[in-house]
Amino acid sequence: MAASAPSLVPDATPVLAVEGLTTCLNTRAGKVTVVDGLDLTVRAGETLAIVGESGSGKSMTALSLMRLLPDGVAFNAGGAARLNGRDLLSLSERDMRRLRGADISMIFQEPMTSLNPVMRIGRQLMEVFEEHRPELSAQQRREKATDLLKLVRIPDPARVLDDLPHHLSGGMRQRVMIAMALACEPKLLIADEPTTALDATVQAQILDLLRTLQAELGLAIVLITHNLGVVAQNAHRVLVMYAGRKVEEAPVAELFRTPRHPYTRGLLRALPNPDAGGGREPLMEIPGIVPALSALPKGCAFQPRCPVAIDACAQTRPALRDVGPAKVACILATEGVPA
Amino acid sequence: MNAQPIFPEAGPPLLEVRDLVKHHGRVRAVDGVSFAIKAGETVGLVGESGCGKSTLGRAIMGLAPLTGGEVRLDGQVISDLPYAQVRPLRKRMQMVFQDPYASLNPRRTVGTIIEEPLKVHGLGSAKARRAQVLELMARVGLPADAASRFPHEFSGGQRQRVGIARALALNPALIVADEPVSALDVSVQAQVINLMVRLQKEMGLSYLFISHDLAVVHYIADRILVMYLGKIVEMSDRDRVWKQPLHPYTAGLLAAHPSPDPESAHAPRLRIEGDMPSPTAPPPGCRFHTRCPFKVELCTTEEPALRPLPDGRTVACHLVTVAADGTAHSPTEGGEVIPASRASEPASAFPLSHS
Amino acid sequence: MKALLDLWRLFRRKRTAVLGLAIFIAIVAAALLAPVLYPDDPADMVAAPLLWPGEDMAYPLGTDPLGRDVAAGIMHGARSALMIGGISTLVALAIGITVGALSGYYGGWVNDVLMRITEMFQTMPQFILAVVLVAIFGPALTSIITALALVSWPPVARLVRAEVMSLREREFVQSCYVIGMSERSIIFGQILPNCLTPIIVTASIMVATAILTEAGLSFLGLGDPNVLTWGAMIGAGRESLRSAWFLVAEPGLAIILVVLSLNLVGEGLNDALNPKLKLR
Repeated sequence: MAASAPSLVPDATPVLAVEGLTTCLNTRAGKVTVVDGLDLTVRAGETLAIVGESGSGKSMTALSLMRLLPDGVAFNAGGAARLNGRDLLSLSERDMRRLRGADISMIFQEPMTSLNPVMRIGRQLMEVFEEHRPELSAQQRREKATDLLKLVRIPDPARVLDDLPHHLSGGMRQRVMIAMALACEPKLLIADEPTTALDATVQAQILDLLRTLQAELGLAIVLITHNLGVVAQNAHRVLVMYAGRKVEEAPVAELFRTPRHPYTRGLLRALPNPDAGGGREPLMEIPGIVPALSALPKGCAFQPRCPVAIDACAQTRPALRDVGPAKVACILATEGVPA
Repeated sequence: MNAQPIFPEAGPPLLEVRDLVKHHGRVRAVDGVSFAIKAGETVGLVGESGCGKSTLGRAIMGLAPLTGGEVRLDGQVISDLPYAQVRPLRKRMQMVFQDPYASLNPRRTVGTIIEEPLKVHGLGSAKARRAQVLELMARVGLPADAASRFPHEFSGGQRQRVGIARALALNPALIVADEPVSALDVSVQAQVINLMVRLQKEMGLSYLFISHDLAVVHYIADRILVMYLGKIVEMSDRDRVWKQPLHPYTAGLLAAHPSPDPESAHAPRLRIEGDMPSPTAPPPGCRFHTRCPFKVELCTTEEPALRPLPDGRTVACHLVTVAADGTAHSPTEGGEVIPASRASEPASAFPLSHS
Repeated sequence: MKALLDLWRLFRRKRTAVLGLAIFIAIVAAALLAPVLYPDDPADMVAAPLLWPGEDMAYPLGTDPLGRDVAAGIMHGARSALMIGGISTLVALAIGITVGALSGYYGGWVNDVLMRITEMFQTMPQFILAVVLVAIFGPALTSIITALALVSWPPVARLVRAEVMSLREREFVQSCYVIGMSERSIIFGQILPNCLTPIIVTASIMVATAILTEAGLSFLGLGDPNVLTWGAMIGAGRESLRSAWFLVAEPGLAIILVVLSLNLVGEGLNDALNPKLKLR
């Protein structure tokens, strides 16, 4: 499964290159920055995982890239996001609509809310073609819809075409969502917590499917999740977010073997890991809670909860810097064994 | 069918569930479950959504009348008592809910919420109760000034601490915890799990810990029950569930658990295909046979009984065998990668290539 | 107190609600001041008949064919309207909340029986039922109030039943069972206070409906002859509609104002009490 992931060409041009993405939210207390100067790149055939807890800004990043921020509530406040060279953030609404679903697609946590409950699956799939490939005949559209359901390994696709969304199980609905997202052969798929609403056995099926499809189609995937297990098993590179900022980025094996940011370390050691032995040593706790974005501390946002913080951490915001194969925003991060 | 483990030590187990059945209309949520919990023991109950684990927890707490079977606390049948007679027994048995947002009355202060059980049972003077509330809050790690504040002023983790403090107020012997950490972020989840483990040591509590997360259940439980479609399919100690699962479903659940270790990505895997059937119409025979890669003819016709094995484990699978030396063997053993039957032919190439 | 202040802060954001409240306060003031400003029986003849409004400033709203002061009638009418609407609503709430709470809390056959009875009342047109009841019991104040209460409780019962049923399954209520709280405390201390919001909103509209229904009854001559009401005034004024239309228009306007104000207040309360809107 993971073995079928394509070998990466490190110097290949990225499908998506994001620079300084900044997203703000209008709240009663005023303007709050929820994504703060985020840089990221994804290449064809590569999965970049964005991991973080609630309020870290990971979902807002996805909505910003898709230009789906709720009107009047959130808005883009800077940066560029180049999809094969075109800046998504400066496209007109019309051009963006043409691109969405065609070059860049997204799947969400709860497939039921993204499907029209009173429209048959086939009709909803064919609608995508009506939007983006108007030259196809009705017959061709139906064939393509069937092919798509086959692509996502739905048994008996002809029958499912005539089903309504509530006839399908959660896993099947997510497969349909993936089929719709892939209908126009996008280069980039953004998956926002795609398996969080699903049971473990079904989650495994969907993740297997995404890996297989990536290998077959050379998709670039941005996988947004809070589940570190899902990250470990599915991502090539990982980007850890805390309070709207990137705190660490590294290849997956590197990040799990040598987490360099104290927050990343905290997240990893907070998880019970039965494979590491049968002991019941206390799990590592990250004390306190995620700070409100409207009242971020001066200096490093993680410093009030950080077990190794020194005085300097409270003074200046640490810049992201190269530490070995990783990028870390921590002044204490070192090449070798972390503090 | 009556396969509850018998404990040789004197006295009845703290909690005993016999053939518990709970149907909601046509939904056969729990369909004949038996197990017991000893004093001081933590039993983990794991399964996917819709398997009936939450319904079982609520049925044990008497929050809904049973369709059949019985629940015993300290050897006494409590499941057929009217609510008025159940009330005093609440001092022995408490519950922690999944959603720390929904389980606290938004109009009451945290202090009032924690004090409520003491008040209901008329324990102590107003002053003594006040002191006890402060002590409980300290015990679960809530600041003293929290007493006069309302639930919405707290984070999810702190609200769950309030829920735990309220459950502890009556000094119970058993706490049924229904997905107590599922709604929490990873870092906060660790805080609550550590708290529950510490409280158990300090107060000698028993837990029935219900969760969908096998790793969390493995961490906290001494024994694990695996539930599928209203039935228990395997009961075993924590380490053997993780290292040598007997039932194919347990093995599949284990394989589906994404390990937070990228190096284990190439480990052999057993993939369970499809979804859990509807509990309104469970399949005949073994309820898991529709998804089981090892099923034989027998599995489709005859329901396997939950049988105790010589090594102390209990399993409901026709294909689990016991060797002459008493060791049990799972059908999942042997062969490092077990191919799951594909529901349809995999598409070999992208079928939509045009351009 | 703080809760009331918060409520007012949310309530006043809606201008129509504040307008409704102002009108309603004026009507209540009229009702309270009636015995002060017009201490005599409003049914007494006090001036020349059929004075037009403004013709004699001592009788600003004119007089009827019997020389009765319309202004005195309107103000005393406000008293009876509010009393009849208020009391009948209280009685209807008592019936509706009891039936709804029992049916929602116990479910099963209790629910079946109570809901069939509720439906029986609901299938009959409210006004016709009120007419029939008053015709049976005779046109006295108590029978009118009873009739109004009997026709208006079913929606309350259904509302409370639905609320109780959903609250019963809510985790914070379940957690009260878990700590062994008595059923009485759970119903009165946990469940019903959480139903209060929709009940208050419904009640304000019910008062308006009751006043309207009573006016209809009085208009048809089924009112209590000893109590002066707006409906009765309209009924009496109908005979001189062509020569003195103001006799119908003035009490009619009073009814419109009270019904409108109560509806505006109800709508405002609904928005102010709705927790989802609070954080905006």
